[in-house]
Amino acid sequence: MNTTEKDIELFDSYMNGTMSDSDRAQFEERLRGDEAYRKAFELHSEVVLGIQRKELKAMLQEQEKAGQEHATTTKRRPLVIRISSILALAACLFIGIIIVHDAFRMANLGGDYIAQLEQPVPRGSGVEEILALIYKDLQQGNYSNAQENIDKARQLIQEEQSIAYPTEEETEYHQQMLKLDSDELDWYQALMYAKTHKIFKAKKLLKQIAKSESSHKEEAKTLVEHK
Amino acid sequence: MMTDQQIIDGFRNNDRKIINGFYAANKGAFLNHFRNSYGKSDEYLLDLYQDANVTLWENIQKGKLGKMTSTLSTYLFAVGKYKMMANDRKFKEMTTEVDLQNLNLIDSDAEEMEEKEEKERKIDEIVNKMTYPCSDILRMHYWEKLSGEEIAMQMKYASTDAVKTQKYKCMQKLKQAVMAAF
Repeated sequence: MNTTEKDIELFDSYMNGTMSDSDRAQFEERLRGDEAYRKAFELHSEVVLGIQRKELKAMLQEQEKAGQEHATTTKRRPLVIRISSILALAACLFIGIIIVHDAFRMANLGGDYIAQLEQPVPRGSGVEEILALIYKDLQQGNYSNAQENIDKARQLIQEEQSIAYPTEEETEYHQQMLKLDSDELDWYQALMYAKTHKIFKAKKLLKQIAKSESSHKEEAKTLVEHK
Repeated sequence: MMTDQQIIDGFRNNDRKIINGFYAANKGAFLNHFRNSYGKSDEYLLDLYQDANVTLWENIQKGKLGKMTSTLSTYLFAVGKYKMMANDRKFKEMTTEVDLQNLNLIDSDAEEMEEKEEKERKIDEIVNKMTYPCSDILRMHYWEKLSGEEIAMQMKYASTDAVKTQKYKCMQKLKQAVMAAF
């Protein structure tokens, strides 16, 4: 039997299950009654299965090949991986020991410097009053309070920096005072970081202080470079 | 974890991820079982495993797994056993047809089965010789299940009607080759 384009569309539709119930019943009726049509449909199904089988086999072969390639690479890998893992672990352990050792050294030195801090004398400015509170917090080991006060003081410095005084000299004087307060605040902050084992933050700030014109630049250098 | 029904649906829809996942998940146990029980070579067993997966897929497409009482993995192992039986006469004595009929693996006598398999082999040979554009258009339509619009777009056909006509010509060519072979 010669199948038409329409027959093929019907065969596909039946195989895909996209036919309506009535169309399917009609189609199945024809399959039962028309042998040539049934044979044409069987041939169509066999060829379609053949096409799909070909693709499935190709896909499984591809999967097999990928699996074999993976197995070959993993077979070659173990020794390299083992050596690299051991080296990486040893490096991590070494770095870890250095960091922990450094953290404790800085905490001890930070504690010494905190103990040696001179008590600030408030000369009437708000920032200096807060500095006195921070000093007290540090001496008592009340670091969360100290941090809150440091933040407050920074905020105040920022506000005061924008104040314009009647004369240029006065403005310059106040700016210098604020700079000194800011330097003092940085030093407190760095010591607090060191004491509380925030080693990376402490080092970053100490290096910054060591490069600045702060009155604590030498102490900062000693603290950050001490081996 | 996927249920057997989800895997069957995946096979029915030619879902690459699900088919490959099932293939990978059962491969080790299948090869070990057949290697230990029947002492076959790895090369033979790998072919057997792929054939068993193809048969599983075919039986799902034909709706033969509707009333399954075993798990899909057990079914796959039974397919492997059946395939081995078909390949090896000695092995045939070790397996009863009742077992295989229970799993819907055989639905006709041995001679008829052999004829069927021979026909399949010839169809596969003919299909494998298909060239462009038939290889692409039929793959997209029957395997990837793309719509006429999607195929037209990918293969740069002017319309879906052009796709239908080309698909029809390709199928006619294949069918004529199959008919000529028998």
